[in-house]
Amino acid sequence: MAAKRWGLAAFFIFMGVCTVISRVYDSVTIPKVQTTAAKRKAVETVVEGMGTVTVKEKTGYLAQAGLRIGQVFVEPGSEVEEGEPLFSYDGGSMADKRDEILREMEQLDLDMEQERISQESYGGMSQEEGAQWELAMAQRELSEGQAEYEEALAEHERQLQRLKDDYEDSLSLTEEELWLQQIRDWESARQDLDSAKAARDRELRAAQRDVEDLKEQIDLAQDEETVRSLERDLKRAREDMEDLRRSWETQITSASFQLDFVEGQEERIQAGQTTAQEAKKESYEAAVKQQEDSIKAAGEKLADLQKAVERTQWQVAAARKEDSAAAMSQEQKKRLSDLAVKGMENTRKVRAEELAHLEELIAEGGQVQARESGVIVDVEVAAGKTATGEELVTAAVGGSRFQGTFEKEEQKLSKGDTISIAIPGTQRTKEAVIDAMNLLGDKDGTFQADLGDLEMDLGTVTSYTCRKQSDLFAKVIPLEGLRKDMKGYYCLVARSRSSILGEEFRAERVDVEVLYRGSREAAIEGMVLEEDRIIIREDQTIGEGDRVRVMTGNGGDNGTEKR
Amino acid sequence: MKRRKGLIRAALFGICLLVWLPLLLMAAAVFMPEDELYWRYLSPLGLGRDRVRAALLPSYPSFGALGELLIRSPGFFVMFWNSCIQTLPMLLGQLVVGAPAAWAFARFRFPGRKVLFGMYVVLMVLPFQVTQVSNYLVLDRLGFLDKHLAMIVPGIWATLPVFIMTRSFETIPHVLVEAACLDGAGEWYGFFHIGLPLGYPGIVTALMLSFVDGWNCLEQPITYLKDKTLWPVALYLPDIAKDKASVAFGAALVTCMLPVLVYLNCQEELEQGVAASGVKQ
Repeated sequence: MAAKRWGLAAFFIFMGVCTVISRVYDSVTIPKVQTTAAKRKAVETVVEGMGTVTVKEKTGYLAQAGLRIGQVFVEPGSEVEEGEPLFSYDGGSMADKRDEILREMEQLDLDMEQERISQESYGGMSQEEGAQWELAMAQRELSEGQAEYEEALAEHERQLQRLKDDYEDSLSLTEEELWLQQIRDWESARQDLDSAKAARDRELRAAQRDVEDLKEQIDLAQDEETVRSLERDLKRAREDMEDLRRSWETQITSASFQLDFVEGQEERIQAGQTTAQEAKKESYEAAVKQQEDSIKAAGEKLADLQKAVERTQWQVAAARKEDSAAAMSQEQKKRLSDLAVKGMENTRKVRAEELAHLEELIAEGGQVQARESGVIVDVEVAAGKTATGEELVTAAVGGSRFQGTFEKEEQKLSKGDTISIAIPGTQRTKEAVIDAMNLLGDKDGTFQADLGDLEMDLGTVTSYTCRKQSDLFAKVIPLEGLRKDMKGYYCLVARSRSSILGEEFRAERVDVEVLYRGSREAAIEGMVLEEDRIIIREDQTIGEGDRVRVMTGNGGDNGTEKR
Repeated sequence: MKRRKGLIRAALFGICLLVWLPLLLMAAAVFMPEDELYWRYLSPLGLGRDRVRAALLPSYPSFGALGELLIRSPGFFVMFWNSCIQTLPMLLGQLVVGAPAAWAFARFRFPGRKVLFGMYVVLMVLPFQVTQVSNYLVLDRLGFLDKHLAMIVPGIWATLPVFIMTRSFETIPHVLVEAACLDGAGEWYGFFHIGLPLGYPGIVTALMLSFVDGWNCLEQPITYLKDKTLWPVALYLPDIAKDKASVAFGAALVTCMLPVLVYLNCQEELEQGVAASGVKQ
């Protein structure tokens, strides 16, 4: 019985101990939060950053390329007055440069003259004129050929008639008379062959000489046009020579054939294979055939002459086109040459100006002087070194400016904003107005503000502050109270509810939309009530639905501790 | 004969196990981790339609639920002590008010006694809902609403303890009290020195039943107590969330421990008192 009573007592004791432990544990583990209420106010944006004092305006003095620097009279930070020497060139290098420029100008004059001469053109026979001449020649040859053909045709008729008469006369002759006539025919054929060979050799020699003469003329000719013309003549001369050879070969073959034919007849008559009368008949038929072949050849020659005229007419048209193209090419060359001359004239003008500048420099003893008063900020020239034309002596003129940087994503600054620039070494600040913005940087943007007559060393790095007020907003909360997740911006609001442990606060999520975001506060829109306690600080991670303990502290507006 | 008794005992033991089965399953669930609990009791917890996989031993025993309840649930203890605060004064009041009343009904014969006792019996059998409104109005007039007194005061004047104690006092022989009176003892002397000692089992029985009734009451606190900080432990289980099912099982176990301990302490008197009431009836 006593054990049962002890059991009951132990149960109460156990429950009492657990009560104490659970309350202690609860008070230790419950997240403590600080809250604030949304206020109706303007959002203040404070932008802070760093910047550098830079020059307002720069003027540069470029060292002339090719001149050696003699002396440098200034260094960065030096103050210079107008007319004060900055640096000087070496006298020897200036003289060398002057000679070089003079030589260049002389060379340019020569080049221009050469171009002008090359533009001159002299009249000569054009290709069309040559072709026209060829055509006239061909037409004349055709006329002569036609006359020859007509003569040949008449001669052919006469020869046929003569052969017929001879043959008919021979029918009344005896065998012996026919044999004597056969011998005379053989002698005549032999003489014809010999005279043809001699004539061939004579005419071919003359044609060969013409070809050789043209070759020599081509070798001696310098003008391209002449060479072309001579080459054309050479080609024609070779063709004529070839035609002549073929013609004479035909005639010689014919004469040789005639001689062989007569010899064959004689042999057959002597061998008794035929009679002189039959041989005469054969001769008559062969002569008729030869006459027909001859007239046929004359016809073919006439046809060739007609073709030659047609070909020459076509060559005239082609030559006309070639002349036109050549004229255009000549015009193009002339224009190009004009342009080259103009370019050279410009170059010469520049060189002349350089020379004049150099002469002035030499007259001033090679010194480069400041055009206006200022402070030297950069000196790239060095005594003893030859300038490449890129070295500058830079001077700042017209006061200083402040160039600051800011985070481009925030985009809180704009043109016209007033900034306070800290003056290093003092408690004072300088008010300045942003007058230029540059947002081209990758991450940071830059702005510039005129410092007026403020005297600060160039390159001084100092801080700036810009305070801006937004419009009035109905609900403004500290940035600590603004949270963000995948769904967007939200606030955790500590809302009280009745529970077993009394009134307790639980964190409730309220989705909001950010209207304006300042540097410390943000204006929001959403289901946040005026009396809502927006959680701005907590001592451990809290989430939606968690019990919290609202504490009094910095930033919070609750006067007492509640849970 | 012995074999027959053995069979009877085995049958009774089986029936007892059947009665105890829900309690055993509850005790096993207390030591189950959350995942196992959901796997086994998905359907009863309203989280699915999977079959129940009841077990008397957890696969992976854990004290996590008990630790959660006893260390990290201060609200449970608030309700536990609320129950104590509301139940113990009520029992004391019943002892102070009900025992003299029961002694009067058992000892004295006066006009209207039977009618008055009959009204007690009628009130005893009436369900709570019948007297709910009138009780609410009275408590409101007295200014007891949303106070522990709203639970204590109506309990003090409960009729069941008076009925049980009356039956218990009636078993005391009249001659015994009359003899004491002849020896000069007054009624209060007889009540304190004869009535209370001899009617002790009945008083304990009445208080025991009242304790269980008060400890488990649900409707009265819901009706009279709007302030949750005053709620008794009986309301803890309905208030607990589904995602703390294992804690709910632990809370049920701890909640029923006090009535069990009280019963174990008063088991002998309870049996005597019930027997006495039964004999008289």
